[in-house]
Amino acid sequence: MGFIGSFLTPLIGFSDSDKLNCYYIIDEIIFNSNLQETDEVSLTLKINIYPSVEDRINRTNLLGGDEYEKTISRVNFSGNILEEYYTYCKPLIVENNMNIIKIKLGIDITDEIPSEYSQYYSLTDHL
Amino acid sequence: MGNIFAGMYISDTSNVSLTNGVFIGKVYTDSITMYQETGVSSLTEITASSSGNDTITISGYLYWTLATTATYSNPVILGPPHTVLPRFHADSAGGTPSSITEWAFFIGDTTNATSNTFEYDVRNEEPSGSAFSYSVSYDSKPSTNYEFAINVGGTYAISGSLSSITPSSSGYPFTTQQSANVGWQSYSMGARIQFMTSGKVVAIGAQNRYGGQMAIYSDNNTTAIETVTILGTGSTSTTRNYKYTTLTNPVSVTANSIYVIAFKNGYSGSPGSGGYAYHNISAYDSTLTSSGNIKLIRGFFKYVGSSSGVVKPTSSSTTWNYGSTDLIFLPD
Repeated sequence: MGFIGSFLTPLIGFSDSDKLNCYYIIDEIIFNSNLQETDEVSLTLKINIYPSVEDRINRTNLLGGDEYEKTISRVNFSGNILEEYYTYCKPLIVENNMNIIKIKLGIDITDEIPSEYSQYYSLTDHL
Repeated sequence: MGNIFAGMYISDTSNVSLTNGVFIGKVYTDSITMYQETGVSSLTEITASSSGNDTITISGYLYWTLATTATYSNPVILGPPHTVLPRFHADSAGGTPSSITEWAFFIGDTTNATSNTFEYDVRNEEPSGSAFSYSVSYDSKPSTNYEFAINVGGTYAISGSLSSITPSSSGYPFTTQQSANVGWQSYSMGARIQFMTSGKVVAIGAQNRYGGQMAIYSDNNTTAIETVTILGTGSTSTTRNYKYTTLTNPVSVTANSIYVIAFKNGYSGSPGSGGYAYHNISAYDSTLTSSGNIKLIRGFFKYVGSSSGVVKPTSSSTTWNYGSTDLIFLPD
């Protein structure tokens, strides 16, 4: 399970450092909870990004990562939570990459991204 | 310096706050380390309010247990070597301390045997025979080894009380910035640092043309522990030129703990102009510094908008230290 998408640098413009078809995988989930005081649990979802699935399998060429926060209730500790967290992260990753692309292109944050750059922010599920 | 023992008390000076009492914790050949005597739950160092000469009184009742013959001669130490008796007592935890006027000594026997004997005499004269002699020697104070987490030295400045320190190099093969004038004013940028030994983060810093706001975060919390202002270099040169600011409250870290530092140029009401630096860390990302005390784990960035203040960054890179941030660490 994971996503196929681009790994972007904040550098202005696009270069070889911006890579397509990279592999996003949730590699660490941190539960920060104090259930004696509250039913809420603060999650930190840590995603690693590799150039390819093969690199992930071999644990080589790690490019970087993303981290996202999520607050859940204790009753949510059920079902396939990993799939749920991928679903939660997906739009956040896309939004994050879209913001970076707009800065790279030098367009206003409220502007639309030209369609030819959609490959840099779209994510494909990898099952 | 003689007859000065750890545990003795300081008095008769206005250069040290004596409100809650002060005792000597460590004695060196040319200095002492002082701690607060009452009202704190952990060791709290007390420093003098000014430098220069001062005349102080050092006092304390020393307590030894000695073993002698039945006629109180030829004493030998029956450890510990010395104890300085406390000056205060309280009727409860956190209660107001009251002065002790006298001490009593109690010795118990936890066995059921009736034949055990142990005589313990408090005497008002010295033992006879070979005189009891006790003294301590002092070492010079160990040098204070501040160290950079990433920087290797060269041109840098530290604002605040630590302006005169000279931290040691991280030892990383870090030569120059890739650029020192990037328009990243919409980004909060920094690095993740792991400490392999306990100590204190005493200053944080960055290289930026215009300066900005910088913060330090625990790795599992998005709330800044402390936020400071970082001066600008006024330059676009890629030569290393870091500006640090001393933390008002040094951040105590434990061995293996991880922290994130972040820098942001511009803030609400005063959008930034950029001037960011960055450098390649791929050769030493996730490796230890030469001291073995610190490990750099990736460079970080997060889009936050040009009007935002510093925010904990969340996107990472194993290749670039975006924002060229750094910190100064003092291991225990």
